Amino acid sequence: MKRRDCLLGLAAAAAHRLGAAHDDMGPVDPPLAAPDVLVTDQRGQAHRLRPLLEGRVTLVQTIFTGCSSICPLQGALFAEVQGQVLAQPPRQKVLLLSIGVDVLGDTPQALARWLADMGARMPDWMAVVPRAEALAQLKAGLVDSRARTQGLDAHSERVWCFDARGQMRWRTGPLPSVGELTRVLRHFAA
Amino acid sequence: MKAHARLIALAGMLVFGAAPAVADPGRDLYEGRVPLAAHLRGETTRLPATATRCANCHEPAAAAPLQAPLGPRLEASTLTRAVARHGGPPSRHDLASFCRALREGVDPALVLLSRAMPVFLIDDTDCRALWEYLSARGQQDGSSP
Repeated sequence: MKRRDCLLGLAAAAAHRLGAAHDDMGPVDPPLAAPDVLVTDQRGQAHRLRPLLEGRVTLVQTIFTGCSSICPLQGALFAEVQGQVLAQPPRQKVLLLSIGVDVLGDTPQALARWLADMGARMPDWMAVVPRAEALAQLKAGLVDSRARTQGLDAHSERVWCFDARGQMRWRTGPLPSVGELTRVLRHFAA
Repeated sequence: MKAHARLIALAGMLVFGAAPAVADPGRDLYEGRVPLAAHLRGETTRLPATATRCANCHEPAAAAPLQAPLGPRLEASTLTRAVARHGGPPSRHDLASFCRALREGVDPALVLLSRAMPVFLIDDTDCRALWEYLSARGQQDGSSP
């Protein structure tokens, strides 16, 4: 048992170092609390983000509905993950959450349209937009030093995984694979 | 028969004062009027047609026409001249390397393209049409910025 524990510890340490070497990809250790900001969903309902994530394992991405380049690809990734989750539901509830970062353009109607265009099936896939004053806090809370900060497509292409306690446990690189997303989701929703 | 058809078209122009539309299959593919099948590298599920339009990433967004698009502009000067791409040595495209870039996601210097560039399931006819359209851009119509 001691040798096994030692090996597991080494593997975790190696993964952490690899994550650090690859700009904080991989396990988030220690886990980070979700930003506690006000958001509005595609139905126009207001939520606080932290309680919204609690009780289910959530994959989070940032998009904006006016984006025609990278965001359709991000939506397609979530659509594929949704299909796999629906085909083989994990033990715990899961949620796909697309956060719009265009606080003016990403109205509830635009978010609803974007979800429909991506083939989202509610309630397993939601879209929200933060209040204007909360956008900076939200972006800081997600922590992506490599995100593009200029231009119309100024948002991250990563996906973050939050466990059922609303703690960030995993962050991917840009445009992760469907395989990584489903493995991470199933690991934390087991 | 072709000469006859041209005379009829010319007569039509003179009578109706309208120029006949010039079909360009390469342009239709580039702008998404004819959809392209593609998937992300490493994936197998096909992307929706809305996500595979070349112009999505290689043209400025309609909402922000002055901002640089995600991908490089595709025209004669960027495709057929020797330029350093993706951090690699200078290289230029020809038809074969262009089609390889679309199908395998590598540039002429064998540097891997961004994962955001889909891998296209494109046949030789469509690939040639796309190449002929793009490699002539900026030379004929002065559309290069």
